[in-house]
Formats: sequence, structure tokens, C-alpha cells
Amino acid sequence: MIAHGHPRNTFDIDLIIRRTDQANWVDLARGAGYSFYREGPTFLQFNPPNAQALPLDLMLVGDDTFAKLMAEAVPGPASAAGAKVVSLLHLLALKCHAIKHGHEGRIVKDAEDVIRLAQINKLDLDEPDIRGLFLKHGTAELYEKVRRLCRQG
Amino acid sequence: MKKCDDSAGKAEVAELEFPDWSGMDDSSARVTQDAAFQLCEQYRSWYPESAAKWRRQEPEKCLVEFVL
Repeated sequence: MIAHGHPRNTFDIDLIIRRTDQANWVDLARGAGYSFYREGPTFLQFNPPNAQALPLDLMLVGDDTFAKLMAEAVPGPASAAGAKVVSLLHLLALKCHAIKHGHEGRIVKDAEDVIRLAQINKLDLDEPDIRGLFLKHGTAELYEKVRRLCRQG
Repeated sequence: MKKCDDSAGKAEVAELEFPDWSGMDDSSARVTQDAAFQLCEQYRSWYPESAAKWRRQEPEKCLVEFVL
């Protein structure tokens, strides 16, 4: 979010990884002192080794999706040299997906992220491709609300 | 309004398939208050230019004094 201009704090690390790399990431996380918290067919969640470190979420995707995300990814901050951050459009798609399918408790936070990302980056919500992104990964209602807000400035 | 020039990227966004991550817990809720305060300071140091820019954009503080 910060890398794409929305200055908000976040208190976990979300990494998108290839499903086929899962075992290597588990070894790496355990080696860094992380412990298993929760596991599902599409994700792994870890507790941090100490109170000052961030919880770690690994989100598993197929090779094809991973390759598409990586192809458009942008460099992370200098403090995390070598790390990549998903592109603005991919982040929007992920946020829309989370709003459509995720926890009810997270909808407000994710919706605010979508609105702020669109406003800060001055996206033209009338562009057919942007509309297509919202309709594919989010909902028509979300699209209309964000579009109205962006028009109001 | 900004037009996204990256037409190849936009076309691919519509083709992306994300799995169902709805079973994930909100990990940020497990962070202690102390750690959260420390992290807020860390983010500022990770993005020094952005932090300075955002600080400049903050509205001027309005000091109000009540005389009783």
C-alpha cells in the first residue's frame, strides 16, 4: 500500500508464493524463528519469533498466476532490497478479490484501501479495463461506489 | 484523470485467477500495541522521501486556546 502511495500502517507481511515453493518457504520461515499459526489449502500463517516482528502470511498461487504477478511487480523499498511489490493494478485486483471473498471484518479496511489507491493514483475509473478489473475481481456495487467517490475528488 | 498506459498489464489483470483465501485470519490483529507503535516508526524510515512528502501535505496545525 505504501509503495503505491497510500501512507497507512500495516502489521503483517503478506507474501504471494508459488504453491510449488511451499516447502522451501516453510523451511525458511521456521529457520527465521517463525512458528505455524494456521494452515489452509491456499495459505499458511505464521506467528513471529518475537513481539517486535511481524506475523507472516504466505498466500499460495499457481505458477501461471505467480508469473503474471511477477511480470508486473515493482521494486520494494530500499530496506527490503530485492523484494518485489505487486503492481498497482494487481494490488487493486487483490483488494477487490478480498472484498468479494474475504472476511466481513476486513471489508471496511480493504474498501478504504481501494478508494485511496484509486484517488491517490488518479485512476480513470471510466476506462473499460479498470472497470473490467473491478467487475472480474470485485463487484459492480464496489465499482460504482469507488467511481462516484473518485469523481467527487 | 490518469490513464494507465500499461495496456498489456491491464489486459492480464482480467485474466488473473486468485484462489479462495477467505479462511485466513487477520494477522495484523495479533500484533501487540507496543510492536504496532514501533512499526509505525519503522515504516517512516523505510520510505523517508514519501514520509517527508506526506508530512508536507498535512494541513497546518490549528492551535486553539481556551481561556476560562
